[in-house]
Amino acid sequence: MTAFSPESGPPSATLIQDLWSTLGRLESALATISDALCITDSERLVLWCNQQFEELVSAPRLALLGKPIEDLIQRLPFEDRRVDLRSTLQQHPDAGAIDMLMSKEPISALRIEWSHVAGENPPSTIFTFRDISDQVTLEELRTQQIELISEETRFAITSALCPITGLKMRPSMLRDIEATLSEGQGQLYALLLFNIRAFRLINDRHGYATGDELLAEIARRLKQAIRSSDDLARMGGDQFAVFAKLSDIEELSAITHRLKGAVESTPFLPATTQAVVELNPQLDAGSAVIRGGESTAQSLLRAAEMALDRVERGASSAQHADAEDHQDDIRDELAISSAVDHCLQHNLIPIALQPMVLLESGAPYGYEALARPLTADGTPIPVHRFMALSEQLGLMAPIGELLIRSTFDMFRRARLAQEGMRLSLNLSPSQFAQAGITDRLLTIAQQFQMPLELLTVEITETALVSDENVLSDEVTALREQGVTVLLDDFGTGFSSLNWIFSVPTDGIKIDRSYTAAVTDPRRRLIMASLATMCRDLGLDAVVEGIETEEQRALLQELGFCKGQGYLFGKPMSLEALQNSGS
Amino acid sequence: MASDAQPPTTANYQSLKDSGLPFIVANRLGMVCEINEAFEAVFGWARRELIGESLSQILPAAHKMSHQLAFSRFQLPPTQSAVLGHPLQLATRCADGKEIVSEHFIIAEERAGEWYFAATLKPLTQPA
Repeated sequence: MTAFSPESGPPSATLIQDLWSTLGRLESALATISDALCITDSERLVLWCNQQFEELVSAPRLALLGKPIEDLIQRLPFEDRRVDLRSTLQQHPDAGAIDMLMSKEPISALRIEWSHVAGENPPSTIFTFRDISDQVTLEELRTQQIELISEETRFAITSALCPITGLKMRPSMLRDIEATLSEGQGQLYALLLFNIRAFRLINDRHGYATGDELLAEIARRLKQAIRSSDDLARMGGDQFAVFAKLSDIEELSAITHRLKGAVESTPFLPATTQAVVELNPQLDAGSAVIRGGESTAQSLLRAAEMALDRVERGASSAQHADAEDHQDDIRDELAISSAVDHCLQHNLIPIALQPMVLLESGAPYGYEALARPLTADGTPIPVHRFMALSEQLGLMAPIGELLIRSTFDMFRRARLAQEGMRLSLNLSPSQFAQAGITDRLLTIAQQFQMPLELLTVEITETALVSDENVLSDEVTALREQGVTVLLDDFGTGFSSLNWIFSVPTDGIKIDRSYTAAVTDPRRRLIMASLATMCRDLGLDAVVEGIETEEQRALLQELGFCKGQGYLFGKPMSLEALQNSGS
Repeated sequence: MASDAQPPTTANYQSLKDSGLPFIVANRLGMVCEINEAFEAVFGWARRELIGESLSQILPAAHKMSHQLAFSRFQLPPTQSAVLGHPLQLATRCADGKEIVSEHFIIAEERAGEWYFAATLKPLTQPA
């Protein structure tokens, strides 16, 4: 045993003594303030606290050291237990504050604030607890806590793991894909979706416990088969997703083949069935590829879902064929999906205007607005596919409204109303499926100073399958406001003539297929009858798709006065329109 | 304190030293200046590893900051502390990084104008 004397201590003994004294004063000072203080390490385990914190949690400091602060806080007697401090801290690890109600009568509230110690890595955190009973009202506390609860709910939803497979779920997967895409600019990625074939039947036949067992087993097999750089998730139901980085497009088929093989090669014997059952899991697979920075995770997912949908509908039973044979389609759908996103993000759908003319003079009396959507890199997208996809994705309402805005905006910029020109606008069937389109249209028209007496709305015949009463009400409302309503693509539906009488339109636009065949005597007879019918019923008639002088002459001869087609002008951009001198 | 250990009836340096339990002494700077063989045997530290080193060497990470601040406060008059003079159940860090929960009995004693802190540490658990 060696005695130790202060005299033989290290040379810095004075410094150490000074530091002890300084620290001692600081700790004494911290004991005098009314706030409770606690410092935790990066794992939020208590390193130190002041006396007020000891009193707050009713425990001596030595009993608190090394304890998770969340546990200590949760033990406090809060009035409202709906706010989960633990998840609030998870969401805002760096710094945050929350006011907690301790009692209503008399009102007692505690403000808990936390922040990282600047510059420390890993960072420790300082927590302060302040009595704010005289600073808040019950209402303020309720409002704050409601906001927190909804934030927690969102966080829980987006961060939860699947309880059956232990895999991340759709929201987390999409969030992670988004992050990867934004970091890996130009890098090729693939999203592969796998559905378990006949999973519902397995559930029906063997019960949900067996279905769950199968899900867990497939998750395990996929987990073993993916590369360390691949990401795996359960997207819901019987669907799994793998997000993979590709060195080239050829790699996609190898990955899908390997993953399918890993799942399908071995039968699975579930433990939850009464009799011995051998399940042979089969996967349907669909995939989509993307380059980082090109599009969004949502777009990628939609494209992969559509590819998978095609496989499931029998377009291709083999995933390998899908990956290779349908890759162009998948890319197309991805591009269209991106175009939809692009339009919504930029709040604009490019519009072209095609002249509608008086057949006799060829002079325009108005223009039909036609959407000309583009991808982010400026590639034109076929409008029917753009609209169809928007409908499939449930985005027709915002896209339809954007189309109206973009059209009115262009018409105003072209200053065509000043020339007394009409504007003809197409409204989609799904827009008419919901009541209130008239009100929305009128509101937007007012915003863009669109004269209603110059406005024509074209309804396609497919819109007529919607609720007839809603449609009639909306058409009547539009006409009462001075808007002209025409039935578009007349003659292509199953019961066009009936609809003329059941929906109070102002007229019809005769489909281009009739125009193309007007030189045929029998068709010409039908056209003549249509012309007579319109004249007798007082309906306006516009003939579409006029491409030759011969067609114009014949149509005039039959009694038609108005038309449109390439003979008179193609759809034009604003610049082209202005350059044409119109 | 959940222990049937009987604290020394005379809370002074010599009685602790004679207890036969692991024994450790630190000076006013918080540096270890004495350990006995029982301490070496139980906690695995060699004398050369601890003598002249900070007492925080034998503390679990979560206890270091609190120890330093409590120790610093003792430097200011009046010298008093909540940890002195009664048994405390605390973890002690062994030389191999494992921890043993032991019952500490700590005293502060002024000798020749300098404060010394002596403690016995009765192990209550196996290293973990």
